Amino acid sequence: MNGDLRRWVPAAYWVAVVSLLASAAWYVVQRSIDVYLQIGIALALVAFIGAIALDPARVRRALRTRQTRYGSNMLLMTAAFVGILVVVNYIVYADPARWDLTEDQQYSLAPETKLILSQLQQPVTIKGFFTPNMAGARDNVRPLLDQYRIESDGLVDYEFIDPLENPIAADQYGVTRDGTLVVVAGESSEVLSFPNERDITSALVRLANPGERKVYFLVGHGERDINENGEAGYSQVSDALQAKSYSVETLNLIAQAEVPQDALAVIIAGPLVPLGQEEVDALDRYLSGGGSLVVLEEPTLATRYGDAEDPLATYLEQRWGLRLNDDLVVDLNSSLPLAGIGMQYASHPITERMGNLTAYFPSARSIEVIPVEGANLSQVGLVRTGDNAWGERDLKGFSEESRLEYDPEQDTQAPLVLAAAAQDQDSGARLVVIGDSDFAANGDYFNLGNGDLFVNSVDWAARQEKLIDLTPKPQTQRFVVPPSIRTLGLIFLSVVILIPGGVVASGVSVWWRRRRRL
Amino acid sequence: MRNIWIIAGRELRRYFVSPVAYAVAAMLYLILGVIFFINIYFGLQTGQINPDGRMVMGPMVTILLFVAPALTMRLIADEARMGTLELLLTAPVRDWELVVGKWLGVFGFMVGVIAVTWIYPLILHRMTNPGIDQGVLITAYLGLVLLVGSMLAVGVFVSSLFDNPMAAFFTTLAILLGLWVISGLGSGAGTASEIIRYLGIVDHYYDYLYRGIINLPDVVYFLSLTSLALFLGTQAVESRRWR
Repeated sequence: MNGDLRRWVPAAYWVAVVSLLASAAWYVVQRSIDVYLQIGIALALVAFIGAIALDPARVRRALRTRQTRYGSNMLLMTAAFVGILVVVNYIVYADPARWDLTEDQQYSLAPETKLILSQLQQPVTIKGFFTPNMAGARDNVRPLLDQYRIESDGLVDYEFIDPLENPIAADQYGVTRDGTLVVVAGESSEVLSFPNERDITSALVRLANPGERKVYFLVGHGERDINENGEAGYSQVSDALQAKSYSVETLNLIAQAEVPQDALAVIIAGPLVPLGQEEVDALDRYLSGGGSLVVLEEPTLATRYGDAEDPLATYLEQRWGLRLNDDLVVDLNSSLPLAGIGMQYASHPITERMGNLTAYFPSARSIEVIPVEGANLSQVGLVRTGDNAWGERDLKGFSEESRLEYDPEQDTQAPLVLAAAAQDQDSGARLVVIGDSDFAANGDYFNLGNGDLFVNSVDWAARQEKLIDLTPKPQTQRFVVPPSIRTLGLIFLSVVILIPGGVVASGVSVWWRRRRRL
Repeated sequence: MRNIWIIAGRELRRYFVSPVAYAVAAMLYLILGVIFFINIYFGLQTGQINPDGRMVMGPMVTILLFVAPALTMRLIADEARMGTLELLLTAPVRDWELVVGKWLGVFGFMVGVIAVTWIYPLILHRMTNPGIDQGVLITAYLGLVLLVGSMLAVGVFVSSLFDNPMAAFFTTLAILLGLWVISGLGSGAGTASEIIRYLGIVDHYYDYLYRGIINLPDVVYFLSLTSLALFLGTQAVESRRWR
């Protein structure tokens, strides 16, 4: 009876192996421990135990062979060796030491950053949100983050999160763009769109000195609503500013005579009716005390100004030399003929990080930068259109007959300024004027560089763009002196002919000598 | 210890009379020379020569992926095929001395071959004002030597498993290619991805050492891979005694 059953022992081992492999394959496909997988594993176990129970002598014999003894010994040694290597690698990986041998210390942090890291009080986590599409950018930022971790003795740590795998974390920190860093310290956090040393260090400074940073949106004149989620609303703007740890409030200067003291900046986003003179006076008092203002004004065509006076425009022109032209920016050569397209950026903190991200302004008016006598101002035209654009002044003709024609005598000539900034050198007051408010509305916020331009403008106005000056790293300028034709020939001769040829020649000579010897 | 040097020296001498070694070196220098010259020549026409001493190092790493298996395939497999391994195993040589000696021989040969390629950055250095970044060059070459050492160790290990050099060649190539591409699977952000990325061989070279940073984990990785492969090679040779 037992002998009969023993015939089935090899088959039982096979069943065990096959069902184990099948279970593994099933798991790879299904990625869940379901009932089939459990049956497969149970079958393998039963077959295995059954085979041993039916013929224990066979197992005993197999275990006693020389091969098994030596083999298991070898397996044990190998496991121990691998274990040691794993531990050593883990220890070194967890707390890596690193030496930057580049001549310009390219991968080392600036002394200011090191100072701030040495004063850090609480642990900070930098969360990088990168999808696999951005793996290249992620690998580029890794050495920098490693440097923060090493220099802070582990107080600053970082992790990468795939926002597709973990959308909840991305939502929690208000991350909307691939390749964003979030600096988290305790309860507060800050979103960085540009992962570089200056921004990370600035965020550390801000998080180390928490204090309410308030910006106010003016209301009462039909301005953009920061709570509205529709296309024309400004809820994205509000979310983006809050993600940068601003607190966003509204301000009604009709109900309140003065701008609050804690306002880092006041934003006037596309009023539909003109501001009153008293309100403009309040803003003037605020600016004279070193305040900051961001003004986004639509072309009068898109407002209900009619022929009414605009005291704000008059004030901006007379006091700050930024004149809002009564026109509509048109470029018939572009695919968006009724939009102002930023073709050129000035060198300014607001635009310097825009890189090649274009900003475009649907239905915009142009701005003219004019000198103001007796005022110590620095004025910059931030964004300019291309040469084909013009500022259509015959708004009546356009709205009634849809007539768009360039009239060199009447219309504003290209290149047009679409956004401008000014700073009063005496009071330190800062002003940004943009001839459009649609560009930052929810419908267009994520298009091209629009959102960045708005956030950068508020950052600069609120003096948050550069909390710290990092010592610029010296960059050795290297240039190759073009070789003469003779040198070039010499290089060709040596690297393409002589070196490989020499190797072949010595090979042949060795072969020849050995052949002769035989 | 002396045995190691004797075996290494014997292996090294064998490369200098081996047609495969000459063919490999000549091919390597020809390809790198042409790449270097093309870079300079076309750089001149566009007026833009990048003063980067690592001009030929990227292609070199790729070529070495194929060179390493070719140089190591016969090291132990051939001895087994010809029956001389029996003699070696009965000689008063420890198994690990045999494996390490063989590896050291081929490693010495490759270091010599790589040392000659220093001439390309040297030429560029002479043409550049005020010279190329030497720090980057040093770490890039250090990384290359570590990388080649571990690739050759894998080759020695695989060679110890087979009696046929061709089988050893393709198996080594497969293992190295596997280590090469595996980091592509670790593009996610979790711990598993991190471990998979850590196993990949080329990222350990390109991420830091190639850029001018000596990163201890990378150095330890290459040394670990080398010692693991040599350890496994020793075990494999030893197993021939009782298999």
